[in-house]
Amino acid sequence: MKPDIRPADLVSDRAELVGIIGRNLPTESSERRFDWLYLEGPHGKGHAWVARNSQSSVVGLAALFPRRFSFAGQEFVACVLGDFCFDEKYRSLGPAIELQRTCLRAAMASPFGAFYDFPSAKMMAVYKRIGIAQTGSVVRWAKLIRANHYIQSRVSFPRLAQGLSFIANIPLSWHRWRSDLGDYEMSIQEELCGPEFTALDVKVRKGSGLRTVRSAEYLNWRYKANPRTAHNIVAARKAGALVGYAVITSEGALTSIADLCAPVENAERLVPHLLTAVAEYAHQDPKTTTISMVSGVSHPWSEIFRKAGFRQRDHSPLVAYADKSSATPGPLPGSNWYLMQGERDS
Amino acid sequence: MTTKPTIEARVREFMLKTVPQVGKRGLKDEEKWLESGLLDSFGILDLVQFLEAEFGIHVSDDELIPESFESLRAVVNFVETKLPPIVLPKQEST
Repeated sequence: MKPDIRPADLVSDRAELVGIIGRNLPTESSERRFDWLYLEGPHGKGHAWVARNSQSSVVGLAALFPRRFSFAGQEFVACVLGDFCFDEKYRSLGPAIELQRTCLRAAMASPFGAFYDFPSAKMMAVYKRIGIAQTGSVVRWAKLIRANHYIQSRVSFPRLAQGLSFIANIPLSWHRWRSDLGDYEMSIQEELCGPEFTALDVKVRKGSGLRTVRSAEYLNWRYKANPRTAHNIVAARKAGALVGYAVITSEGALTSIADLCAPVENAERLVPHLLTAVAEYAHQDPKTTTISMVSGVSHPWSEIFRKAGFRQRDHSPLVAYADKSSATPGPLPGSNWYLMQGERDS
Repeated sequence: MTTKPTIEARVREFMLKTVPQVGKRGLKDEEKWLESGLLDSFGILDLVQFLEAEFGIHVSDDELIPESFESLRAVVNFVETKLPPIVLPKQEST
């Protein structure tokens, strides 16, 4: 029997939704994650559709999460898709496509002006079937700050590996010798983000480009209250006033930059200093060997990333469309989109 | 004219081009692709897209059931049912 597709009730279906995510997606599923992602987002609650089998059990899920964006001085609500999954027994193709089609219909209807998704290369087959083409790519950037792991995996004599690592690490630590932070004061934002972050966001949004609205409320939800990953915010201040920030996470040998914020007119000067501050922070942990980040392939600051020693690694697909009546008709403008890992929620 | 052997040859060629294991171990008529791991449900969608383009057929969402695409034989049979029937020219009486 064909599964029945209908909207989910985020309250009464909560346990079943947490269950299907846990059974099918690599992400850690918990009621806390569900409440955070589906119910507590400051840009609005998530929306979900489920496929139910003949016993009325949830066997498939597709979801979207609202995001406020600004483009050309206008604000609009977009949504990011996520948590698409089907129980193995029910992974026949028709229902999966119907479920995603239902979710996309909602993503392109009021109040949403646009939607975007980070599908796997395999999931692109579903999009192609629905008639939606890949509109861009995201790229993972990486910068090596210690060569220990790389050399130890290739040199079997520990003392030789240690000596070679010491030599190789000298040029990789260049940022420490020339760690000129200009007249910026860099510090970890220990407290919740306050009104100064909202004021910076208002200023940043006056510049060109497509950006998520990053108010203090959004930052506190997205990074400070995130139940899955602990984030640190490296705040840059000048004469005591907030001028930009980088959001980072650390796991094992990797420090990842989830978000970068700086006013357009100041980016050429401030972003390199923020990246230096992140490298300095990462260097304090002797385990850290690499700094990585994910951005849209044509992020306006790509050249700054390159000059700071980051190199492009693997690419993956991006699907992003706007409704014709919204501020950004057609495919979202990839070349002017400050897209980073922070724009992704699942 | 698209005959059964032609369909089979083109599907074999597609599988050889897109599934690396097929080049190493070949493709048996009855082998169940989903069970053996040669294709997953996403791979079947790529195959369906190929069939639509190659043979000019349309596969509706309702027809996207694994049984129709689970083996070389099943795919060949499915495509054959989707192709227009062959109409033989009338024989002129002499």
